[in-house]
Amino acid sequence: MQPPSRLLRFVHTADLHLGSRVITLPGMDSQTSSGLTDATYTAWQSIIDLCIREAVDFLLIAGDVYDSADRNIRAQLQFRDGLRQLEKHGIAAYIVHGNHDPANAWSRSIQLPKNAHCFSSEEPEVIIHRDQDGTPIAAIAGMSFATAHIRENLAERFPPRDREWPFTIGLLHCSIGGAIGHEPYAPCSIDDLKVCGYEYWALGHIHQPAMIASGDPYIIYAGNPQGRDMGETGDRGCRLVTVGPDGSVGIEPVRTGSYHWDLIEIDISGAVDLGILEERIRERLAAISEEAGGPIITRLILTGVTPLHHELAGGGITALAERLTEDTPTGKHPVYPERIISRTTPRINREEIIARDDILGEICKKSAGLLSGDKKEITKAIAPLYISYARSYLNQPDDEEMCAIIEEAEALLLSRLAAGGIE
Amino acid sequence: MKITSLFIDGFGKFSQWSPPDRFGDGVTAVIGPNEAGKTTMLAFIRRMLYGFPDGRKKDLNHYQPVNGGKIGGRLAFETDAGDAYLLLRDGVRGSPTITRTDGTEVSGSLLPSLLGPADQVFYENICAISLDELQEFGTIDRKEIRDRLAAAGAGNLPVRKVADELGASADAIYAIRGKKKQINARITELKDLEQKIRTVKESQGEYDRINEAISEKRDELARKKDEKKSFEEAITYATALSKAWDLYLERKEAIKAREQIPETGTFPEDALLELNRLVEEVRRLEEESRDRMQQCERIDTELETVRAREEILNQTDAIRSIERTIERYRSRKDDLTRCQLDRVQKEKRSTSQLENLGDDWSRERIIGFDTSIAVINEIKALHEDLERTDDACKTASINHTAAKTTYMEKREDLSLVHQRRADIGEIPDPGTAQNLLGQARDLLGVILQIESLEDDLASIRKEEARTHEIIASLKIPPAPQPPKWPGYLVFLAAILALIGGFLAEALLPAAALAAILIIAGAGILFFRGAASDTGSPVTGDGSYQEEARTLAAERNEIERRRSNAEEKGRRIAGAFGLASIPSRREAEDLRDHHEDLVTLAGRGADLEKDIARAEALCRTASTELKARKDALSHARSRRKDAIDAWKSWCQRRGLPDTTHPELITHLISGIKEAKDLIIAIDGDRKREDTLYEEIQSFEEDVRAVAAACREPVAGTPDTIGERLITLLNEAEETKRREISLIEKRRGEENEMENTRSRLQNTTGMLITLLQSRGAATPEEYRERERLSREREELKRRIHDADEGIRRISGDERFDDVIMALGEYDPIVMTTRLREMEDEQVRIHTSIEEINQEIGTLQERSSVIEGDDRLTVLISDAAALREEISRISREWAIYTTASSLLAMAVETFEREKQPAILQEAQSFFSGITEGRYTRIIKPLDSAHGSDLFVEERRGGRKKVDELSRGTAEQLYLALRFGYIRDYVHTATPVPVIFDDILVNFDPGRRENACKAIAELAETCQVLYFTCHPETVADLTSAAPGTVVMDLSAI
Repeated sequence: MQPPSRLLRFVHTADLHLGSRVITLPGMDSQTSSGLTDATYTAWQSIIDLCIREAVDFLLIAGDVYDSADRNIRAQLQFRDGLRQLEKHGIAAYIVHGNHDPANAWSRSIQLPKNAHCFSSEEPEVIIHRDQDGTPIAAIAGMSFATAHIRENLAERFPPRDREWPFTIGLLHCSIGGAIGHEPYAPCSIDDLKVCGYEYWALGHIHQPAMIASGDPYIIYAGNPQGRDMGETGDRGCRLVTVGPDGSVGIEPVRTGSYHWDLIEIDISGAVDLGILEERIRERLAAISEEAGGPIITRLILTGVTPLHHELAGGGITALAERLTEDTPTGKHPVYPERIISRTTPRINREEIIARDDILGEICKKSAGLLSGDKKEITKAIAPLYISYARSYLNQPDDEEMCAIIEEAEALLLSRLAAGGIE
Repeated sequence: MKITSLFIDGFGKFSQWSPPDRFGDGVTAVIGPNEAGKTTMLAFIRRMLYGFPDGRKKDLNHYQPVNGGKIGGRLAFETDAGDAYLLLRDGVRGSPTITRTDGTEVSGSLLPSLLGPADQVFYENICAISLDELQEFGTIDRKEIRDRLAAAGAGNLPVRKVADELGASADAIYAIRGKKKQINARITELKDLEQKIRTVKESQGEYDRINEAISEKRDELARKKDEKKSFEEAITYATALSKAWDLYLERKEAIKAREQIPETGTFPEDALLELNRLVEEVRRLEEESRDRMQQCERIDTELETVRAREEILNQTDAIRSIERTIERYRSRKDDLTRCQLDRVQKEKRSTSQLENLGDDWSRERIIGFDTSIAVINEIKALHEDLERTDDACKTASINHTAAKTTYMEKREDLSLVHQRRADIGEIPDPGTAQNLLGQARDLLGVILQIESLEDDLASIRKEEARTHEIIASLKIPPAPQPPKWPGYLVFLAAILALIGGFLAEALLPAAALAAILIIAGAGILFFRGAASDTGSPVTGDGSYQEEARTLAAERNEIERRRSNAEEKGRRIAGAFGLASIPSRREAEDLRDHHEDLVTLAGRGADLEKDIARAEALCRTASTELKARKDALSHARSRRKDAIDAWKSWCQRRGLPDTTHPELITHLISGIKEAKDLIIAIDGDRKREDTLYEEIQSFEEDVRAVAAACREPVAGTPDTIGERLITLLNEAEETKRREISLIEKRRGEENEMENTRSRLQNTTGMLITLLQSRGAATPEEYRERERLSREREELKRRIHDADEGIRRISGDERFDDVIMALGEYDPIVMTTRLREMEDEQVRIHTSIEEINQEIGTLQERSSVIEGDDRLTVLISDAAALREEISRISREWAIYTTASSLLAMAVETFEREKQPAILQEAQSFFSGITEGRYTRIIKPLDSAHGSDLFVEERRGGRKKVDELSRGTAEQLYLALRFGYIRDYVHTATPVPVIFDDILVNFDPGRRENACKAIAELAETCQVLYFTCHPETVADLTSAAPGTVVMDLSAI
């Protein structure tokens, strides 16, 4: 079969964060733990393999190759070695530096191979990429971060597309519209990008993969290629972009993360004891494992109306987590429970408990009062740890978190006080 | 709500079961021995109220039905308003169904509304009190008792225990003054990690500086290496000259020596070897020639002593013939001797046998007598025929005698039977006798029938007379009937009234009048008919008349049957020759007589049959006797024929006819043996003649050969033969030796000639060799060859020295080096070389130092490059932060829970508990018979654990100062108080006690029962027990107590 005719094929990636921290779990075996800490390197190698396998014309890297604050030499060497592999196959790499790896934060001793081009941090540069015959097939306009904290709108400085340029790509590490959860470095708007008249904007900085605009131009955050904690769930990878001779653009997300972080919600309605619950969780995780593309680190959210509500709060969750860690659920790929959170609802109507005249009723009344009103008493109770002793290691719980703590405390109390009373 | 009854479909041991009685409104005491099913029933009630647990739930008794039925059943209950309902649960799943008693379903929310806030936990804690709770008072410590009592007053919730646990859990994570807590350990660990991370980062920061230093050192190293190289070249040249100096001197010396040796031409390498070989060959050939001449002379001397005997060799064939036959000759001689001895013995045995056979038996007769198998078979056949005919005669004779005896016995039997028949005399045949007996019996039957009929006739006549008397006494005249016409007249009036009404156009009143008249007429006619039916004077007369007629008819019938019987009796009597019917006695005699006749007639008939059978047997025996007689005659005739045949055979063979057949086989055997012996003697004689001839022939041959060999013929022929053979062997050996020597002499002569020829050739070759190198003798040749070798050796040494120098200098610089060596001064050059080597060592050391420095730097660089700790450390630190966050949150939950609990307890104790204590106080006072009057809880007490009780006289006691028994009573009082307080605000639910008073002494039990009775005034109480005395106390305390006995299950 003839390969589909194409004008251009490239891979777009960003935010490699090579060698950065990946959360490991207590009780995890050393091999998995080691695999997890090396997962960013593994993902980088997957990208290199993809480029070679697909014989792409070039690789675009939109910043944050590594975390310069760590001064991680191994990360820079691994990056260089990957580029060398591409060089052997005649594949170019175009790189801009981001806030985590600004131009001034790279080792002087590590020289990138000749196939790699780092864009200037002074002015936007435009490189015309030519095929083996010397025919220009793409124009890449890019600009690096000179330092970590660039608050300037770099997109505004990008030149408008020249009529002579072939398929034009903007390569930039930036923050469109002040994305949540990320520092607003090189802030810009979609219009700032559109006005340049390019066909494709290869962006970095936002770790969640996103297609901001799906044509005229394509504005895409590739996302980071490997999730590193529960804040980076779901499929992670890069984009394989194919431009046809007619100018059509095909964008294929390719998974590169060897470990998958995921939040899994399990409805445990009807489970009447922890043994049955554990069986149900194992069944669900085994099913997820069969469908997964690799090992999964998961946070389990238990929901539903269950008589176990109080028992879970009163140590049931801890016992379950210990059992699942000791005896990891089996399936096609391993599944590692990171944490189990109970968001179940008690079978007994809370309003009915509040209506009671006994201590249980009083507890619910007090907790209801705290949830809807002033939480000073609780804030004061937990202050010795949160405000005094471990302040620098802990985030102060916000109102939502305080409510969650009160609700869990109430469930814990009801569970402990009712212990042994229920068949 | 109150439970009134229940039905268990299937639950534990119960299947399709209902309790025998309804539950009472107040106290119901369920009594039964252990294993009766109290606990099962109790569990059933709880689960009916709150549901059956899921079957998968472990560590729980599910009370699976063991006697059939499906798990579940019905619970009948009444609300406080008096409405009755049925609660149904089917299996473990789903909500219950609630119906009214008429079967209509009601809302599922009824049950929760009836149970109110009493969820399952509440129910277990408040409304169900088990024996275990009280029994534990005997095992737990005072603090625990205090906590239990505090809990009893607070809804039986383990408040203190939970508060302690929460505090302990929180403290395990973090405490304000604690140091070795989880959080402390984690933060210390994190700080350590952060320190390690800083160290690694600093190390990573040095990478560029190290690599730059490496670059500088490499430049310096290159310079040093260049310098070292130039010194190395100079040293190499000087070293080369010094190495070549010795070679140069040797070369010079060899050239000088070669010039002093004269030119002798070249000798081949093996020149001396060839010379020595030829000289040696000449010497060896001369020696060999001498040896062969001596050998020829030794052979000639030996030939003269070796001569063979020709006359013996001439007889070789004859002597070899004797040698082949000499053993045969000896064997024949032995055979002849043995044969003669054997024959003589046989002749003696033959003479003896002839004498045994008798004079009649000559040698010729024996030879001629036929003793073949055919003859022996003939004798055997004749002998067997004689034996067989003899046996047949004996058998026929025995059979004849037996037949004769049988015939005589049968004749005697016949005579005996004839005699027994004659003894009976003349009798009728059995058929006639049987017929007469039948008639005699008929006659007797007719007489009996007549007698019976006469009895019937007499009784009927009596009855008839009685009937006639009754009829005569009942004869009265009948009453007149009322007339029918008044009725008809009234009908007519009705018709007239109708007509009149029609004509006067007053039809309605006329119709009414007519209807009245018709009814009146009908009434008249009806009453007239009734009067005629009831008006008959006496109904009995008719029936007696009818009876009289029936009796007359029956009498006539019996009379007719008697007449018939008499007629029959007379007919039968006539047959026996009687004029009238005999009396019953006579008739019986007649019957007996004929019965005897029938018996005799039967016996006579049997004897007639025996006579016929005996005659037949006589006839058969006579026939048999005749047959046996004929068979005997036939056997005797066959016997005679066989004897004649034997005699005839004896005569044919020349034997006397008196010869006994059994002896003839011995005679034949003797004849055969004698015959065989005579033939064997004749054979032996012939063999003796043959052997003798053969022996004679051999002896003649031996003597003839001995004479021809000129040897003496004395001695036995075989000895002479042996000697001749020996002589021939010796002569042949001598002849072979002579021939061999002659051949050897001829071979030696040939070899000697050959040796001489080779000696001549070799001597020629030696002379040629010497002359080729100008030598006259071998010694001169050898000297010239030595000089040639010496010259060649010097030439090789010069060449080797050149090669050595060339290897040091190289081809290009060879001539320069040779020239330089011509001017070379070893002493000066050695000093210079040492100086250069010192300089070289110094540069080398410097290079090594630089290399070492580069190595160290590279190692540091490699360590940094290969250092993968950083990612692990920062990952571990991140994980640890997560862990700190997690356990901090856990601590926050425990702390929040503690705060919540404290707040709730404080409110409860302040607002709710006083009322509960008030209620409990009443129960406690009752149970303790007024010894204690108050239960006090100071409001300022911490955690609600410091309860006091006040005695009647005003003294106060802390609960931990109470005896265990009183503490138990206080516990019950508090539980009861809680229930009563609860009932004030919520719908009362049934309260269940599981034999809680089992350990109470009688007095306390009685008081407790009174308290239970008091409690039962506010809610239904179900008390499960196996103790009749408890039931008695309950019944006494609450007279309306329903006692439900499960003993019969």
